[in-house]
Amino acid sequence: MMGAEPLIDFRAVSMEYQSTGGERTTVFRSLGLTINAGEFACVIGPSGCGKTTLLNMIAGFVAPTSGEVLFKGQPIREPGAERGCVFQEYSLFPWLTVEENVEFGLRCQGVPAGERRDLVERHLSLVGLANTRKKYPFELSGGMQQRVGIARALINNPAVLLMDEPFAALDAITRNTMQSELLSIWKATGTTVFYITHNIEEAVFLGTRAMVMSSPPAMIAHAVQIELPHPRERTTADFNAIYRELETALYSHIDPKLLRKS
Amino acid sequence: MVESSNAELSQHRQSQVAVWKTFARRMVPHIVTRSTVLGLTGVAGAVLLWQLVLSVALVDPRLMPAPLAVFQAAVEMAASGELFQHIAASVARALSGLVIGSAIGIAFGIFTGRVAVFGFLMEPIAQLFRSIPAIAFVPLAIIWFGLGEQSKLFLITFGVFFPVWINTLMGVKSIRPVYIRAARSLGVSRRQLLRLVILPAALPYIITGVRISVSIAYIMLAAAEMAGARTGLGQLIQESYLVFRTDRMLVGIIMLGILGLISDRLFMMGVRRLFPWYGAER
Ligand SMILES: Nc1ncnc2c1ncn2[C@@H]1O[C@H](COP(=O)(O)OP(=O)(O)O)[C@@H](O)[C@H]1O
Ligand SMILES: [Mg+2]
Repeated sequence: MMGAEPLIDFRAVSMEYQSTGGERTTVFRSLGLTINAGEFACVIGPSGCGKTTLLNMIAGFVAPTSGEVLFKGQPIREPGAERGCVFQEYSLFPWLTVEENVEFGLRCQGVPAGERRDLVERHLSLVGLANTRKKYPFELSGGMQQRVGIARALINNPAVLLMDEPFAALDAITRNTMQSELLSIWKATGTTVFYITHNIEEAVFLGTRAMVMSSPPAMIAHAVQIELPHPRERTTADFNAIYRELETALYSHIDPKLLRKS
Repeated sequence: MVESSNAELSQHRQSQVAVWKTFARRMVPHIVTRSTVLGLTGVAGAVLLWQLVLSVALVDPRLMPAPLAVFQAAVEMAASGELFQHIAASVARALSGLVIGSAIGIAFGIFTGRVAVFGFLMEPIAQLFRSIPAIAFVPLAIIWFGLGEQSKLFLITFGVFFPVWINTLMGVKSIRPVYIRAARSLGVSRRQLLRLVILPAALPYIITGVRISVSIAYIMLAAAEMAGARTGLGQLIQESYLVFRTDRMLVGIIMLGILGLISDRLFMMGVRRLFPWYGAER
């Protein structure tokens, strides 16, 4: 990690949206941010501050108005299998079974069926869903659907897993389980994770680094390197100290107008 | 002795009863549902009403034959094989028009939905043609293609094409962007996107379009055959009209209804079997 070039590098990135009414919203102005290989990088921010926009630029779904986002030193031009995505909203293909959803990426690359089956099996057991291969997404609970989404992204062996509030819609118990499982997957695969959340506790529990975003035009208002070893206890003094630090940073950088709107 | 055999007998009866009870519990609810019972009662009631009106109003049976007379005519035509010739000719026409019209409609829907220029180009034409009843083209089609199979195929294809096109277009337009994003970040190529995402994601709309078109195919079929044909249910109706055989006319009319109903049921059965997720998707 040390001295090596970052995996993802935002260079003076500005992003403006033109609303239908004609006025411009500046989401980012000359933002700089780097993500290193192997990190579990968490971004915390209130709704509407630009978290999804940030992730979308790495994914290649949207391009910055100015500046550039480098991935392994190359500007990102379009989406690609080396940057896997797990979405907050429901995104499994409803017309495919669990198994077919997971093997989608391999099918695109023309991997033969026999090889696909082994990989699907391995990735479904990685997310604890070996017995649901033939089911359709609508037959699964929200938590199971997100697990399939994670397996679907991981099967391509991506260099980075981009996760946009993946567990926000789940109940607290399921969410906690999923967090622990995600950590073991991250350990097992050695992939880089870029994780968006509006939940401070989640960021402290998961991340090797937590970053707080300010209101638009957003910047990284505060960043903490979290050295606590995994698995972490949510009630220790160290945990709470980091929690409090992030909370203070978060609330001191939120535009009160944004709070009232949400 | 007697006691024991009595006991055996009652035990045997009980097990018989149990078998029947199980059968009744398992099967009867499937066959004798409330909706089928009520539906059949409705049909029987309508036939009864038909008979009743005839007997009370003393209608000339040549104008309006009794249900039994229509049934007899149908049996005669079935025995001579004539009925099946008409059915086969009509079904073949409806089916080929449906397949060709749907294929063109789906292709058009995808192009106009995915290529913006093409969409803007075709939009006003779609709006205009949508409000023309396709039946209005019957005489023109006969001038262009004559009274043979070509004009029938054209008319049915034409009638089927529009609903399938419009629905496919709506389906393509309403695909959730997250499906396309997910697919792109999983490494789908532009060429694969169409087959692997666009088409299946728009499928619920396409199915609706084709289902509407099944009934339109029969409307166009009847109109085209009545305008002139050698066989077919529409031709049967028209020919019976010329010789004043209302019983045979009604056989043709009712058969069209039955065929339409069966076609719709078969279509939806096929859809459920091929796409088990249909109706449950989000
Ligand atoms: N496609 C878009 N067009 C116009 N404005 C947008 C668009 N996407 C996002 N925005 C605006 O950009 C800001 C940041 O949005 P987003 O990145 O979705 O925030 P977050 O994910 O943190 O809730 C919001 O004010 C939102 O209204
Ligand atoms: Mg968001």
